[in-house]
Amino acid sequence: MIAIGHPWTSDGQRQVFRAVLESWSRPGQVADLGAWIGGSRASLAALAALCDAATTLADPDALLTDGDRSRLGARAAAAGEAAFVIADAHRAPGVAPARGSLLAPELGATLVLECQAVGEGPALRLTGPGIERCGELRALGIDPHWWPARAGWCAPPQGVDLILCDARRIACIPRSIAVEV
Amino acid sequence: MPDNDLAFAPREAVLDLAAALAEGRRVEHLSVPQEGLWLLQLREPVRGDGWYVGEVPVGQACVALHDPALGCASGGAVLMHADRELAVAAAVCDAVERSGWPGAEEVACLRASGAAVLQAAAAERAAILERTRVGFNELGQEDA
Repeated sequence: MIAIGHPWTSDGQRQVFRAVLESWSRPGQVADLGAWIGGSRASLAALAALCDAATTLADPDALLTDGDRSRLGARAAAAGEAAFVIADAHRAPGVAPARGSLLAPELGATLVLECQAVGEGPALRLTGPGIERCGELRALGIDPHWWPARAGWCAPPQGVDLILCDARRIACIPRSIAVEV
Repeated sequence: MPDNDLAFAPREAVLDLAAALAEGRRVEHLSVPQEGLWLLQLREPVRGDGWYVGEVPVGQACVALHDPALGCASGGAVLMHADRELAVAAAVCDAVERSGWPGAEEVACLRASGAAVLQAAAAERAAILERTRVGFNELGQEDA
């Protein structure tokens, strides 16, 4: 067969989806997606597992190729309205992502942040649901303006969910988690 | 639905031809090949409500073939078969045939063989249907 490889295989996407789900339920825990990303980056694998034609995607920093956008199948939308936003963590945040509303908090965006490294670098202190007392997440290459911006976007149940990604690894920070730098 | 002609050609012949046509070329998947059921939605004309009339098994693929000498050719296929592998092969054949690359004649032959199978099935169905025709004319009246 003229095969399509990871991260586009249904088997790989199921594994990545499982890993993302696990990371959501244990905020700050680092998951290695290396086995399922093929030659791409973890951010693309996460989006491939989460997006389909029923979702919307914004790529304000042009991190995805035309081919990847086409294969993801998600409809393009403005960064302030999209269900999924992929952004470069090295740059300061631009347009605020969708936060949802009190009646529809599920419309809050999932922000996929491309970092230099996840699991290495300066420590972030995490507290909230899913973390016993206090957790720690190390991440490198994130513009410091992201954290106050995120704090402003998140007022649970409204807010923005974060997936931090490097080349192979991801860590999730749901909107209900407080982050101290 | 010319795509569907290839779905009725011998499956192994389509796969073998597509593999031969892809030899030495890079196959780029422009969308993720899919297989599954499509829900057929109709919209009723008064209130505009949508409702589902039924499901159709479908395989679909969209590819670009990159040839070092000939350039790039893209093609796609939507088959009424939940067969991802066959859809990819049909998309490769479609790309070659659309661009008129060497091998287009073989694709046309396979398409014709599939169309012949479809026509034979349609003729067989028409013959069966013909036998079920009921005349509602009153006795003694001639057909118009």
